[in-house]
Amino acid sequence: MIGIEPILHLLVYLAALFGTLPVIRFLDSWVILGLVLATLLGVVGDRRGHYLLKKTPATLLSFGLFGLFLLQVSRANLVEPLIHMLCLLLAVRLATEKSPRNILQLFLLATIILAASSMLTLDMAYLAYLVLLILLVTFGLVLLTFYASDRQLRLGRRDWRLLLKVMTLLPVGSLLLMLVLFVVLPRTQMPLWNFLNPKPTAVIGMSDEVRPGTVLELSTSGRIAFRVEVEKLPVDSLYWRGIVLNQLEGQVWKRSAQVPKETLVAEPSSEILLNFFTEPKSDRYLVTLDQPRSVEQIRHRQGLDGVVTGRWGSGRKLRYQVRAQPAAYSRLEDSSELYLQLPEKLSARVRDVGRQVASAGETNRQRIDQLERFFLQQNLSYSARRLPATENPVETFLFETRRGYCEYFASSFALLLRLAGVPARLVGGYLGGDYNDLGGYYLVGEDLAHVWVEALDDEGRWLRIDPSRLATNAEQALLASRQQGLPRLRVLGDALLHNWSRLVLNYDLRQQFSLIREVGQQVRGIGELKTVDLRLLLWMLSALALIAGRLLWQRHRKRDQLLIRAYRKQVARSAGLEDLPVDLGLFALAKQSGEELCRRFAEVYGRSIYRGEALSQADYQQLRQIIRQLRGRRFSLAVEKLSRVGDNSNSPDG
Amino acid sequence: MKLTRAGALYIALTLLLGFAAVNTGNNLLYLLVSALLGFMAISGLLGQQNLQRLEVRFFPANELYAATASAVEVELLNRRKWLPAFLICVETDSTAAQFPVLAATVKQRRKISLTLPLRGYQSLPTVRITSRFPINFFVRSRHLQLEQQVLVFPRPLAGDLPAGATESRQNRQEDLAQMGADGGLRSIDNYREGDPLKSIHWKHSARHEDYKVKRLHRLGAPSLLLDFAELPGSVEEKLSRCTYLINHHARQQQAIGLRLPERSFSPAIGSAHRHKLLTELALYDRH
Repeated sequence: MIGIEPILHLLVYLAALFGTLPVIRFLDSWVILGLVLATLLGVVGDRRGHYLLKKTPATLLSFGLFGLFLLQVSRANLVEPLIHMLCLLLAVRLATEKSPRNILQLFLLATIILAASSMLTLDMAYLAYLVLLILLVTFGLVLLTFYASDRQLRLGRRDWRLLLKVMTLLPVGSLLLMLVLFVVLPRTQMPLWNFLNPKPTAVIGMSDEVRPGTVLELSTSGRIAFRVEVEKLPVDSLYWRGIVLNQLEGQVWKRSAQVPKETLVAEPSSEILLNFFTEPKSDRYLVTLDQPRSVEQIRHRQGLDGVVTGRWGSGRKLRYQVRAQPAAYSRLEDSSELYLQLPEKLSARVRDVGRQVASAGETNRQRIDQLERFFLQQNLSYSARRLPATENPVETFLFETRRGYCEYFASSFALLLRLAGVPARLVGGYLGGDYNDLGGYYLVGEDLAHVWVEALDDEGRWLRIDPSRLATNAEQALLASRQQGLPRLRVLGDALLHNWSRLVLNYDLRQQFSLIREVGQQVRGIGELKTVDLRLLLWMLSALALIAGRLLWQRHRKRDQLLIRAYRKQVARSAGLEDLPVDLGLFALAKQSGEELCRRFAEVYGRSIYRGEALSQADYQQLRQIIRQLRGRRFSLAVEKLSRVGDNSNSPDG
Repeated sequence: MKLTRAGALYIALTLLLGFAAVNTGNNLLYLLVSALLGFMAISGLLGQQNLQRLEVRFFPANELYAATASAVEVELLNRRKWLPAFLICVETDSTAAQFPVLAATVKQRRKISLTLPLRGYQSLPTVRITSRFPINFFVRSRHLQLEQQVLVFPRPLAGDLPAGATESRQNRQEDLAQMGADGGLRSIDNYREGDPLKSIHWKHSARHEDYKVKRLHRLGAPSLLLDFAELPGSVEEKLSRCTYLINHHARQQQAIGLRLPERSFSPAIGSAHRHKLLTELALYDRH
């Protein structure tokens, strides 16, 4: 025989542990110390049967802690004092006697602390803690019910096994229902208490200007910029378009919002659908795949040059859908003057190169080719380290250091194109990405930020040129690091993280509506079922009809039984008896009572029974009416003389 | 179904967290609230199922006396195919029996004390089965009307025999089943240490190697005939006194008879006879 109490105590301590673990890194050390001390005091108290912290001091201490919380709390600082107070209240309860009331409070406090942890962190570990806590709390609450009914209760192994089987239904059922309810519970588009939610620890964003040389070394933060759900694409097409910089002011490439008209020359066969999931952004630019055709599921504005901007709440992760056509191209329909604009000050050496390129051919294509040859001749290498800060970074890059990263290559290339009379612009975005086979998406880090060039060809089409590829070490320094792939474990971890973010953290009203739409479409799709499906459906409907019929019949049977029970009860009451003998039939009863209503009841009920049918609704109502009418009647029934009733006597009748 | 304080606390917590989830849009809170609601639904379903298809039967001791607490065995049968029943409490107005775990298709018995107010064939009181399982948030209950009836003897009321009852016309003494020293011969037995010398059957002893002794019956007290009309008090009091006297003298192995206004029973001994007399008293004026 195993007692309930020790197991219940163990569950209490485990629930307290898993309730507080998610917030432990946010707690002051003295609070953690308090929790540990309280647990020790509680365990010792449980063993000895008396507790150092008695009921009244514990209650006073709890009130004191609440007062302390009220003193610390403010609108800007609400969550952390709240969690500290909850943890201290938990500590007080851990140290005191484990009465059923206190145990219930402990379970509830552990649950509230876990809930409050969601205001500090959105870690995926929350799900694990939630599942564990549900398991512990449900088991604990069931055992608490047994404990409250009898504190000394001990159960045999067989009883424990039976209890465990049924108890397991609770957490399993609760978790399954949790999945359903999570999807359907109502949500608002603009939560009023958004300020309570955890702030993002890192924000990514694209700079809206390129100034080569201002950043001497590229940081390798390892932060994730975005994930894109799409089938695996050719490596060469992984140019994630963000911003187009079209204006050169001194050494700085900027963006002018006034851009000439362009049209996308469609290439429908290459169209692909991409689902983007970005980390919280500090800029207003939405990344797409070159060339974006349309963007959906987010409020946005698509510029004529394919740049997509939007507005969203700060700190939000974004989700949107892009239709892109990598094989399409954009055609300039207006003046190219903007893309030929040059700064006033330029070094003579750079101007000379521009002139040489211009003289190399009549067409834009020839000039572009010439400039590429020039880049190759210069033996430029790709490097992001130890770059000197100079007044004229383009000249230093092309003729002196000959080292630089994408911004150097792209801005030099575009500048020289413009000098040679070829309209050009910079495009900022990302290059490459690690494909996660498990999740079916590309993972693109901030480290993959990239700048390339678009130049106008002789037909007015924008050509994508990546001058960084002209570096002597482009293969190793630029491309290899962008296609290296992820270790298997990281693939699994990131796939989990992505789905956590996608399915849980980012689930909102918009997705609820799209889910409803999808369900609606599927329901409408039933009309287009094939004959085989229809036959299956017919079978299923028949089976359902059979089950429903049986249930209905049982209900009818039950209804009839209840009717007879009510009738007999009423007759007994009218005759001033406690009850009627069980074997006293309806007709015998009617005869014995001499009551017209009883005769009618027996007649109507008997008629349907003899026909072997269930009572019709009209008959049922009539019989109910008779029972109501009987309420006012009084008559006598000599029950004992009617029949012999079962007894507990085993002696013969005297 | 009755909501307990713990249940009210749980509902309040769920509502509070639900309110917080809607107003913060925090999906982790939504997860927790969904789990709490799911838990409530599943526990409600289990609680409801826990009281289904249970059958209660009472097994009274052989004799029940009106207005007297008597030991009764209450049997709970779980007619479900696989779902055990937990923490079932079978209650009447005055008493309760607890069944912590009852496996499917299994029955268990518990002893309780039951008091029925009246004599004669009586219906058992309405039984209420309650349970707090699985969680002490709700107390669910069901009322069961038992079809069973039991025979209740009149309440025993102590009193003396009316004068002359022992001097009945059939005033004879009968041998009792017990061994004694003054009744008829019961058996011949081997001599054992402590047997009185006068019990030795010398004739038999002479024919055997061992001493043989005579074992005798105990001679019962003189039989008596109770006359219902001679007892003092109202009819119910007379019945009660008769019940007491019948039991009292039967315990002393005294043959006892009963004369009722319409019927009469000759003195006799034995439990069947006593039962017959008590049944007559229980159903007196109830025919």
